[in-house]
Amino acid sequence: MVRARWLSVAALAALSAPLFAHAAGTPAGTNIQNTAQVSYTVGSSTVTASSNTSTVRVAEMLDAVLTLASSTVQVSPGATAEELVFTLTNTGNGSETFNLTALSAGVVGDDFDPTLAVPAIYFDSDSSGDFSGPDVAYTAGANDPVLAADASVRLLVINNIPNTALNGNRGRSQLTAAAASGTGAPGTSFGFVGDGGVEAVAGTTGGDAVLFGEYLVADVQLSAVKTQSIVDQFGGQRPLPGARINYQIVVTHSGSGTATASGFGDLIPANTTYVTGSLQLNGAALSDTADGDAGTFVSAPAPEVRVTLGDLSGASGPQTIQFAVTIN
Amino acid sequence: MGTRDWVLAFAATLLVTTLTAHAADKPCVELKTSGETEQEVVEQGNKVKRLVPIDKIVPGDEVVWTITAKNVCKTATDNMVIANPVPEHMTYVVGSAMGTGTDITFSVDGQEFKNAADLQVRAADGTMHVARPDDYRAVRWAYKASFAPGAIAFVRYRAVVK
Repeated sequence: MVRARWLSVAALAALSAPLFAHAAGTPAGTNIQNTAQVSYTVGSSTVTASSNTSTVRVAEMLDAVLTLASSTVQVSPGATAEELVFTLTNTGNGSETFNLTALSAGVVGDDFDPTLAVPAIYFDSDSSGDFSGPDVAYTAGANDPVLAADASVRLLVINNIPNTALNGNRGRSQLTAAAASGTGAPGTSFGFVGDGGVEAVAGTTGGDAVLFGEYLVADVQLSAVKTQSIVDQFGGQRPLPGARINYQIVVTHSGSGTATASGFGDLIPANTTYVTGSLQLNGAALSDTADGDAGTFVSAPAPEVRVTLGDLSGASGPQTIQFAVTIN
Repeated sequence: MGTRDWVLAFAATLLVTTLTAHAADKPCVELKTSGETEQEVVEQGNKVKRLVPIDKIVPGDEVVWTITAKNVCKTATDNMVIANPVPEHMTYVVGSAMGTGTDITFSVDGQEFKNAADLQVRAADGTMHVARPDDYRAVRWAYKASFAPGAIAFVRYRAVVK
């Protein structure tokens, strides 16, 4: 099995730290009651009495927060169906329906405009954290998410990347989630549309959240082509027990970007045994132990050869890795 | 147990009821509890803070609780003590309790009342720490002087909706 693996490509994606979402607070519609007591003496008698019960009903605060799983996503020019993964949290104190909209072409501050897919917004229905088959498309007015206080939902915004985007370019795409009861300056009241018929009021977030993610174009590809030749003990090419298989993998770079800190790994096939000392990079022998050179043979968790290739650009040329096994 | 049960049990431990010669008469002290919020308004060109009826409150808002006592009898009453459990879903604003002519004490366990400076709470690990706002469960105002017939007095404190 050939597995060309690069550890990072061009500029690293920066992970966004999750925003701390505050607990929503006393549920909307809660009746807060207060009764006081008094005691006093008249002559030798002690008397007690209670006050009225003063009741205050808690109104609904509308608040929303969006976060991104990753604020930057690396893509190739011309890539399609690339997702930004958002989490929407209802940080208010009542159940709320949220209206969603996505925007790419109108978001400023970037080098290119991603193209919103149609449909552009999906629910991460299978909770896979990425865009996959079971994910259900969002249709405004048909399946607007309803979130209880403190509840969250994961949403995907899907874009295509123009093939004219250059290595290192950034393109922004934005998601807006707005409380259906209303959005506006903090403290704005939207009437008695809250849970249980209480008043609904915009909280500190104004009842909505807007957040953009970035696609970072990394115009670089590494491909690996593996070939083999068999030499048996009798000078032939038959795959007999004891025969040797010589593997050669050529890793080739394409595109205008640099693959930084790239590496290659290949599992030793079942029913074979690695020939110690057979690992080579570009014709130079590599030691099996983990030392200062580029090659290592590891036996756990599964036998595997690993070769670090460093930063590969167009100028690096093809990288040839060789190693051998014997058939058990 | 629910807030209502706690209020009644609290009242029973706080106050001693005895038979009086006029058991059928209504109490001499009428007590009224009201909650308001504070708003900044402009009066005669100056910004002032006024207490206004509650319009709507949400978590984080502060309520000013005022308890008013009126002596509706023809005789003075003595040793008047007003007590109020901090309502459920609210956090007492430390230092906000006021009442002219009263000694103010607080309870963190619903049974003993102490000065604010002496309030201590046992943590889960057994250590004692100074009471935090959330630990305050009740406020008590004890009047030193007599309460004359027809007199009106009020006490007040603030609490924030959780």
